[in-house]
Amino acid sequence: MSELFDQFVLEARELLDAAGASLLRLERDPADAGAINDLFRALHTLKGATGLFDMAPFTRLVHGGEDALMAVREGRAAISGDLADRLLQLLDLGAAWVDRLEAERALPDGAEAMAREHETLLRAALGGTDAGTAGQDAAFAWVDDLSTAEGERLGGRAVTAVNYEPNADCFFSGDDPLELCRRIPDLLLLRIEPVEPWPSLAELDPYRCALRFRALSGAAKPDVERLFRSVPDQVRIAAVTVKTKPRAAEPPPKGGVEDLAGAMLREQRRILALSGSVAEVEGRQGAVVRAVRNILTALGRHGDAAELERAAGNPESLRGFIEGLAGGVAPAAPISPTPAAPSAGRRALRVDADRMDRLMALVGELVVAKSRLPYLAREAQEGQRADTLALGIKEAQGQIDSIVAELQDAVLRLRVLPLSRVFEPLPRLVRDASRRLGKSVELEMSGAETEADKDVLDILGEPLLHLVRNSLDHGVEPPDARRAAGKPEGAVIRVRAFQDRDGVVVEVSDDGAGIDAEAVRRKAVERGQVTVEQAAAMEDADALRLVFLPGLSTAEGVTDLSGRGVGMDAVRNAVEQAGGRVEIASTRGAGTTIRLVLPATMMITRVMVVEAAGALYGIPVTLVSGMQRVPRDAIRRVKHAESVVLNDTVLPLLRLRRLLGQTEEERVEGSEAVLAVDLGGHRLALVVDAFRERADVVLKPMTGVLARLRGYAGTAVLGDGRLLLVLNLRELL
Amino acid sequence: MREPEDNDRHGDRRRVLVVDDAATVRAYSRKVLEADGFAVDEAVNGIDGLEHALANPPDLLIVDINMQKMDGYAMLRRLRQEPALRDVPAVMISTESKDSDRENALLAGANWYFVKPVRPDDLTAAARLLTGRGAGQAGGQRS
Amino acid sequence: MPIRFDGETARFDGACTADEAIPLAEWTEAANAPRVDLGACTSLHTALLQVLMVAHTTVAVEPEDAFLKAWVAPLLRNTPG
Repeated sequence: MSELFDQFVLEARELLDAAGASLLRLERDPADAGAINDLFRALHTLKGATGLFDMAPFTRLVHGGEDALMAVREGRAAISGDLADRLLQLLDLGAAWVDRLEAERALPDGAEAMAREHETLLRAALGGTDAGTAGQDAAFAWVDDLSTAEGERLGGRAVTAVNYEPNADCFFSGDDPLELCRRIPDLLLLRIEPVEPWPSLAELDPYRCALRFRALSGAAKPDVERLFRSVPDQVRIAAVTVKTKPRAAEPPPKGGVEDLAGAMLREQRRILALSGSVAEVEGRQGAVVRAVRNILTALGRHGDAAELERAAGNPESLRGFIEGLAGGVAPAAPISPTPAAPSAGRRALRVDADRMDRLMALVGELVVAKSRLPYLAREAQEGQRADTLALGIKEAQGQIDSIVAELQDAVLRLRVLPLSRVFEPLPRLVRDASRRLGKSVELEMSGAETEADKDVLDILGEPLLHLVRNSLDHGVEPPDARRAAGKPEGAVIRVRAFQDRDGVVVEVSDDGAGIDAEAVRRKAVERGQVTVEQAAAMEDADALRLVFLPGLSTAEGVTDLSGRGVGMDAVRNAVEQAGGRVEIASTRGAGTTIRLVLPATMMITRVMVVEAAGALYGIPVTLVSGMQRVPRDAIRRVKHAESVVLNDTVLPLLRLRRLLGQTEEERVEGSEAVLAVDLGGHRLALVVDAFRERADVVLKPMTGVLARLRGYAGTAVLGDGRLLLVLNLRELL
Repeated sequence: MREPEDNDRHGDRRRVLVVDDAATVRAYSRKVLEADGFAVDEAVNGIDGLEHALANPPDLLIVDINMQKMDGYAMLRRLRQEPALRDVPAVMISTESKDSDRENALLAGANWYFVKPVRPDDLTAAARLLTGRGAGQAGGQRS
Repeated sequence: MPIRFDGETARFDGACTADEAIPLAEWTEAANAPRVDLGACTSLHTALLQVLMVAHTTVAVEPEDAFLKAWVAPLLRNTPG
């Protein structure tokens, strides 16, 4: 059943994601009936899928969510922030369980108790009055849910169970819950669990108790109660009996087919008695006759089957005949779930059915084209004239060529996915973070349908999250600050994706405070990354680019959102590794826009081909912002450093020959071929011998001894077979 | 004696059309039924199911109730009006276990009703019975 | 001092109290792969335990104390995220 299990993991994730998205929609607009229906359907489908495996707690968990939604749908409850929180927690737990199932093929210990707890919490969030009693029942559910080893050790014993949930501030009243548990008489079992999922170490307040304790003791209840008398409000104690665990599922009952057949025949009799329009009744009758005939045939009762044909003409006789058949047969066997078998998990790529179909169609064409070859071979053997033969071969070759080209394209397209995949986590991120930070933020996303290679998406995910977090954290001001600045309290973060000439562009912009270019200059000088003079000479736009340098985060404090140490330089590195670049624009008081430009696919790299010292070199076009011939006398030289003014900007000028360790040659031309190169925060002009064409190449990494050479991203072969070295300019400089 | 028609179809490979919007449930049914020698088609909702059934009439339908676009009830009602399909036996499967759900399924045109999850043995037994596959060909599902 | 910080290993000695929680948290945060030597630990305050659980600390030396060995050490060896 391993494929089935993998299918489940895949589908469960999708359903949980879909449910999460619908829930956020619903929270924004509680009247959105479409959202609640989508959410309900996702949970319902998930429940059905969990039912196929041995994971009753999961079914229970999802069922709890479904129940809560039913109450909302039927108007018995309203969707509140609290209820949305609970439901999101439920979905998170579900997602964690799916991860766990994928890795370990089993739900964690205590899953049943967790599911019950969520049920209770949901009921409380719905405002139900039965929350208290349900809590009482659920409080000791974990006793029924011990691991197999624990169950075998304790099964059947009458014990005292303890639920000890210390107050968060109990340390300040001198309590030490762990030491208290040490003193439990005849301690049989102690479970120590975090009350909520652990925060990061940095967020943990060691002096707030975040643990709860569950214990089983062989001592009598009053003895245990005596121990906990100082914390009666934090503990629940009960006498319980540990259930004996059944060793394995019971084998299916024998004679199931006979029982089922009897039940089915009785059901057919009932169907005939149902009312409806003439067409409906006739329709059902046809199906009943055929079903009964098949059942009798399957049972080998051919005589009865023949009898049926005679009775079928008249509804009354048919009813009587089936009644006679069905009489006195036992009811159908009960139905129980099936255990799931283990299998190895691996990453799956969802493929659009149309694209798969196209691939299959092309394979079909290839098979047809190939079938021409044996025919040609036979002709050659039989001494067919060379020119006729050549014609046939050329034709077949042309056909196969075009199919192969299409196949290549189709295979590439299999890897192309919409950006919605990396957009998916953003609404939740913005919701949770704005709630936590007390900021009101609207997220606007567009272009989620833009497509890019799967590898590009994988690279894009983290930087995008980081940029949005950054906007939430540092960009968007608190409501009072916004009010003071005369802006609407609600901020807007826009995430926009689109296809560009160079590839895929993803933009994150906010209408927040903007970045203070002066502060960035100051900080860069403080950190010794630029000199005072350099900083002063910088345009604001260039100064802003300094934020992409390591360690240059502009905000004074470090909040939990953006984390520590991971800055904009990580974003830049990730994007540039994928052959892309980062751009930034910001206006004080009005907001910041950061733009990631990535190649649409990583397998094909578009390069600008240039010539230097008689060899060809490629430079990724994403890095080239312009090219032009510059008169020699426009190049200024101060000592050994050269510079040039391009588009009103002074750029340092470097020579590719020199970078490659080649000698300069004196040329007679009065101008130089100059590329304007943008390395994300670092712009420069590069002199080459000559410009050549732009080309799409498949980049191969350097191998063998060449791998140790610095400054090269890899090699590629041009359409005419010439070898091209693709430069890694950042390394080369 | 006349040989019942279902025995003549596709040799011994009865064709079952599974209509369910949950991919896992479809995969499960396919796995179980194929292991028992059935040919299995899949459809993802009522409309898709009708189209599949019309294009390639099955020997048995296994239909989920709660589906997008067209639910299982609507699909069966529509199917029972279709001359080529009106007598194809149908099993409905749903997570709901109330009597009223069972009743509604039968009213819509189902011949049998299972509450999810269905045990493999029950699924294959029902499929064998409703497609007239001999009980003599012993053995439940191979695994 | 009941807890001695020794590079990547913290050595617990005797009854370790809540007073140590902040230094312990700071040390675990700085350490790459924090390990604890609980060999001589006779009592561990809950505040310390939760720091060790969050920090994914591994046990370098098992506690000799039976209670800690049976119920606490297993939490540290493979604390899930």
